[in-house]
Amino acid sequence: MTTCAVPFDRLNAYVDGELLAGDELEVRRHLDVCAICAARVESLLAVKDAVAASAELRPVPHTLRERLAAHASASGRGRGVRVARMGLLAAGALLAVVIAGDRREPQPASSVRAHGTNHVAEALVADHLHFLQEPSAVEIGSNDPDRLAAALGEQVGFPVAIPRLKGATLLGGRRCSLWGQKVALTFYEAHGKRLSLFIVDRARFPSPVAQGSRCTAAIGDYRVCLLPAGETVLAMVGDGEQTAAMLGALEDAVGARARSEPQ
Amino acid sequence: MRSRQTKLKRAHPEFAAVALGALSSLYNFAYRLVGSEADAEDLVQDTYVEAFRHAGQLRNLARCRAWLFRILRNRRVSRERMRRARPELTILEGGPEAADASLASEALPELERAVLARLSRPAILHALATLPEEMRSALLLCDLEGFTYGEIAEIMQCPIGTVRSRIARARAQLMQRLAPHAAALGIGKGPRS
Repeated sequence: MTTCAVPFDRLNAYVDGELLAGDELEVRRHLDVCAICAARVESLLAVKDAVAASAELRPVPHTLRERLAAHASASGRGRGVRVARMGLLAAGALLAVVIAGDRREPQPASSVRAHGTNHVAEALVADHLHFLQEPSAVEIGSNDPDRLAAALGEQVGFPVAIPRLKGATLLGGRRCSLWGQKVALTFYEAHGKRLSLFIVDRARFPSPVAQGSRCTAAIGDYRVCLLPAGETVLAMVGDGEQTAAMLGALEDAVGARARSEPQ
Repeated sequence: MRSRQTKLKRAHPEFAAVALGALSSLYNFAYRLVGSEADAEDLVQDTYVEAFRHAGQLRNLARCRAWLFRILRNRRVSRERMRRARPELTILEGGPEAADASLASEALPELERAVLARLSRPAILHALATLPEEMRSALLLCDLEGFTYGEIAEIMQCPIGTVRSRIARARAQLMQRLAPHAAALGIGKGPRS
């Protein structure tokens, strides 16, 4: 049996991008000359992809949301600890908004109504808010859409096109993970605040996407606008003012790119 | 009192939105752990009740998602301990010996991405379900939720080295369990020799 000096768990950490830069370079050089380890890395990537592809998004039962809202409100009224009360009251209020968005709030004709889209929108808003708080959110800093697209496309494994948004400044981007899929996330500054644009492989987007742009009902202060672009889906996330102002710019940019591409 | 409430609101103005945004991820993760919608609902509800109760303890909102997963995992571990105390229930975990054997990497089969992409989802889900829970959790947190090893260590409350080892073992066991499915399609390869 043939063996190799590089331990299996080191190769495993390599495919997860968890090695330090020097160690990663060392493994990369080794892979150039060792067919055994190269095959093993291929196997690890195959398993990683298979696990991600097995993801199936189950909708959260409405009964669970309602129970959480009821609990949050009740606990908020009865609790003596003020800090906890504030969290509960805020949670109750926002749960009510989310539930209203799901079930009762009248939505304009262009709103997304497809099954599961609210769950998708919630996850996108959560990631937007998460990275607003994360000091190192912008892993690849660049204001050049083409260079950033090339870098992110390599990381996520599908072609990425990054639009130039009139009225917004491109800050950079990073790879992130949503629904078990690799997603390119770009950041812009618009109206003095950060705007997120998620670029998702359309074949793996977890809810149906119709032609043209569609915006969700508000989730808290935030809104998600979806727009198919070639083989990808663009999901713009920002506050209500930003998304209202930038949706036209996004549509223009995607339209211009589509017209410039050979048929 | 009003000024203090305002201050607290400023401290965590987005807590509920971030926490609720993770609801779908938590529910799906819970379902994958427990394998039943009813149990997943219970587990997630317990998680949020505890999270809302201790919302004020969360200092960094960027850690909210990992913090929720950590609570969920703690609740799951507590429940499992209680179940294991009952004699009629079987133990789900594989032993450490089984885990160690899975890392004999020279015996691992080779698998190609294009090949595994052709396997059915049930085959993959079944292979995942047979993993010991510690390994399955670490792997799902990495491959589906996109957490780093450091974040997974925080969620699972163990050293990073343990996370690294669990994920490596999980993948090694999956390679062994998926290889026969690939071979059944006439497209698999055996271990390199």
